[in-house]
Amino acid sequence: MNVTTRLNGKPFSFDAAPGERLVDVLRDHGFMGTKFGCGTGECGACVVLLDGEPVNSCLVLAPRVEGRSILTIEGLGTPAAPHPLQEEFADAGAVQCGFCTPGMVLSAHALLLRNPSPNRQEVAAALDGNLCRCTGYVKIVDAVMAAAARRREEARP
Amino acid sequence: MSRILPRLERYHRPTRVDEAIALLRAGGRTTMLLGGGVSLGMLPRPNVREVVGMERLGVDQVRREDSVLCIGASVTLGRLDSELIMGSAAERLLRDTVRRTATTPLRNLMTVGGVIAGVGPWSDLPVSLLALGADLVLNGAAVLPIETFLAKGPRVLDGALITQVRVSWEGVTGGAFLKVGRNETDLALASASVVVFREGMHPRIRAAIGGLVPRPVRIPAMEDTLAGPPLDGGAMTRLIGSVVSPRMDPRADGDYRLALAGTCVVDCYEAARREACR
Ligand SMILES: Cc1cc2nc3c(=O)[nH]c(=O)nc-3n(C[C@H](O)[C@H](O)[C@H](O)COP(=O)(O)OP(=O)(O)OC[C@H]3O[C@@H](n4cnc5c(N)ncnc54)[C@H](O)[C@@H]3O)c2cc1C
Ligand code: FES
Ligand code: FES
Repeated sequence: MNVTTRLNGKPFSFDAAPGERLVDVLRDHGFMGTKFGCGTGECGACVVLLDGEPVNSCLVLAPRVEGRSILTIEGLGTPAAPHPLQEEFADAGAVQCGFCTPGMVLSAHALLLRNPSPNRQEVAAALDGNLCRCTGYVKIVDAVMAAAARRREEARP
Repeated sequence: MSRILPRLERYHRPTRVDEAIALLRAGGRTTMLLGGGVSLGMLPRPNVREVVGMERLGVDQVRREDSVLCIGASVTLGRLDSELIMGSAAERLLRDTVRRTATTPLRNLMTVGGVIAGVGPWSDLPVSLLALGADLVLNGAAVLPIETFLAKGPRVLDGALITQVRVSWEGVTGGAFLKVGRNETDLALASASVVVFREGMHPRIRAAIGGLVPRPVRIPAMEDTLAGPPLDGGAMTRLIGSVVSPRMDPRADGDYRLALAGTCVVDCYEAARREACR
């Protein structure tokens, strides 16, 4: 079936079998930043933003995104023009193997859009669906706090 | 590539409840009604050939009518969290329960109707809805108390859709939900929800527990005991143990679940009572 969405700010149509997962559709179309981990909603490696909210794309059937707006990590920043969150993750040492990083960054991005001045508990709560097997989370929370501070600084007149 | 529903052939998006019911009836056992689809992460459904999606049925509003909170069945838990107001003890209890359910991205998928219809020992929100005495609206018309639904199990729906959940906040002065898992986002090993109502001069208590038996239960003896002289978690554990036989699985044995439930009930009651006295 044909599904029409907006992906990373641009119109995007694709053909998919009705039982296909959104994560597979994205990866098949070259958006490899969305990772496939557990496939059961446990790890958060597949998190993308659907209408601005983080969701586990391994549990989203492709037809469900008809008419909706998807943001993947490729739509947030590029190697040439990284998003401040991506820069802060790199600077804080919040990335080791990197498998969890796209989902983490997107969950953090959704939080900062809603709450520009979170405390550390609020950051941890917003990232509760993203598992990291490498970093121990402290540097990830540091990175999100630094990105939030930077955003506030840049927003000053 | 691994299909989540490997045999799925058609995805329907009805816009009316009667249309959805007709599709479900025509499709029989190989047709599934889909709320958030999160249950597919727990229970693979290899034989499903058709899906009837809830997303265009127009049952996605949160409204307040008189003293009743009306929650559309396809409202996600994430959306419900953002719509609840903190001035109401009943809504505060629901918010606390929602925030203890699963994880942020899963809550943005799970629907209120789906977490009720997909009830199991893991269920959180149904525990608090039972303590609050909520009603389910089926097919936009018939009303079924959640207590009856939970006592009889999802089969009582007999093909009907839950279209709305109605929660009266009349008389609710305090409420608390507690859940114990191996970590913050784990499924409940045991959980409890206690609500204190004021009726005239006298407080009335409703209490429910989850995690111990296949579906959340309300135990009236527990409520009578809470209304009496203060008691500790151990006594409450013995009381619950005299009424239910808790299940065991590799995550926890029955005695451990019982002990957790007893403590949760007593602690919830204390928190609910404190809120009611404020
Ligand atoms: C990784 C993971 C973690 C979880 N953690 C928790 C947790 O912490 N707490 C908790 O309570 N639960 C938890 N769950 C379980 C989850 O709440 C249930 O699977 C729930 O059913 C999901 O809701 P949904 O809207 O996605 O339902 P769906 O998957 O869409 O549907 C579930 C069932 O309900 C039926 N259904 C859906 N909507 C309706 C309706 N309106 N009327 C009638 N029938 C309907 C469907 O046909 C299906 O049989 C977890 C699940 C997973 C996979
Ligand atoms: S791959 Fe989706 S949550 Fe793990
Ligand atoms: S950096 Fe390896 S899983 Fe997070």
